[in-house]
Amino acid sequence: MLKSFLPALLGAVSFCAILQMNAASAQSTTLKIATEGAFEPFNFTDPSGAVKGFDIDVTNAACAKAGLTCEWVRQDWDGLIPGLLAGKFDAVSASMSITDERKKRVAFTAKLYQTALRYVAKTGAFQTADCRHAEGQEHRGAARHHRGQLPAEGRHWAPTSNSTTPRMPCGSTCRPAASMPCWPMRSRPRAAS
Amino acid sequence: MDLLTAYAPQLAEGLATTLLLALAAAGPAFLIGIVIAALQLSRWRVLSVGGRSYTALFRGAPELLILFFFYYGLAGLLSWVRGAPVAFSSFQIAVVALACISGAYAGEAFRGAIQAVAAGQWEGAAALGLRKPHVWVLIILPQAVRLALPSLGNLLLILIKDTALASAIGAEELMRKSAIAAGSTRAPFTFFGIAGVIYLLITLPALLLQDRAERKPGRRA
Repeated sequence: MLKSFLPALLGAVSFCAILQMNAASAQSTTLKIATEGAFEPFNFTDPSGAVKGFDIDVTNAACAKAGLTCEWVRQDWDGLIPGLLAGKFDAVSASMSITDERKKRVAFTAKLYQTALRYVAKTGAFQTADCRHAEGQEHRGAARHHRGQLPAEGRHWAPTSNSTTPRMPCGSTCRPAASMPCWPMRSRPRAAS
Repeated sequence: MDLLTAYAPQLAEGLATTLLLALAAAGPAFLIGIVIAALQLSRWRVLSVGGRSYTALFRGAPELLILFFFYYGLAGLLSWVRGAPVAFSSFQIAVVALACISGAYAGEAFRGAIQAVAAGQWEGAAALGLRKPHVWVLIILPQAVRLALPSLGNLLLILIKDTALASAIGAEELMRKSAIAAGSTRAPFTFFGIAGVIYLLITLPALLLQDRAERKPGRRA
């Protein structure tokens, strides 16, 4: 999931729990909450088979406060939203990024936390000390299907038209000089998906 | 190694679910296979077209897609028809979907086997004055099943491996348990490696069975 690549701080991605009450079970005080259970440390499964982690703790606390009984179910990552829509469970809490695309189908709570993504590269992958692209040098990245990969796609990384200097997000750790072109992280256009 | 010991009970649970899934699906698949083969060979056009359509559908569509369709679509469809929510567990759905898929392949195996039974057997049965159901049950099927054994062994092997697909709809069989342990401990090679070894071990009996069956294909009753 949160596997990122190549150098430089990328951007802030907000995560949160989705809470979409399914009409049928909204009356009952027992909620079935789904999580992936394989994304340590946010949600994972301990040797006894119980789900643990940040998402679990936060959601359990919310359930306690709301006077609800919450029951955890595990579902494969790709099945979380489809399962929610199909009524298999009442809510999802699995460190899921809030995206416009997802918002079309599910209702998110306010965001729980925000993380930054980083590119990671082998030491020496960049031929110059200041992270500039050498002439003609090409970089290829890889990412798993996480929302975080969207801003990582080519056009944000591509060298500017008339120089070999890559554009990087402002505040990037790999932006050696203030004079290096950058874009403000928040106002960057959202990558189309 | 410590991780493996810690998560061993989880993997054992997964293995039990995998075996249960395969066994639960194998029986119905066997029956579906016989029915589908009989339908395909029927003299009535409606039945034979029905049988062939079933085979075409379940052999032609990707197994994973069929599982998704059953899991996310079928329950919704049934709920809509019934007007009340119908809930199935991933395990139940996986059994039904795998039985339907394997049934289609078993149908082909049986069809070939039935057709391979010598025409003289049909004629002899008719000459004895046996009625149609008796001909099928007493004469043809016992011979056909024997002829189909090698391919059925192969199907059982494939079915055991196909249970891993059920992990995609959240059934916690061996594959899913391994993925959960891998994600929870960040030791994917350890857990997927051991899962691979376990799959090899449990498919071994099916392989041996198939070997044996192939060595004496024409054994008389």
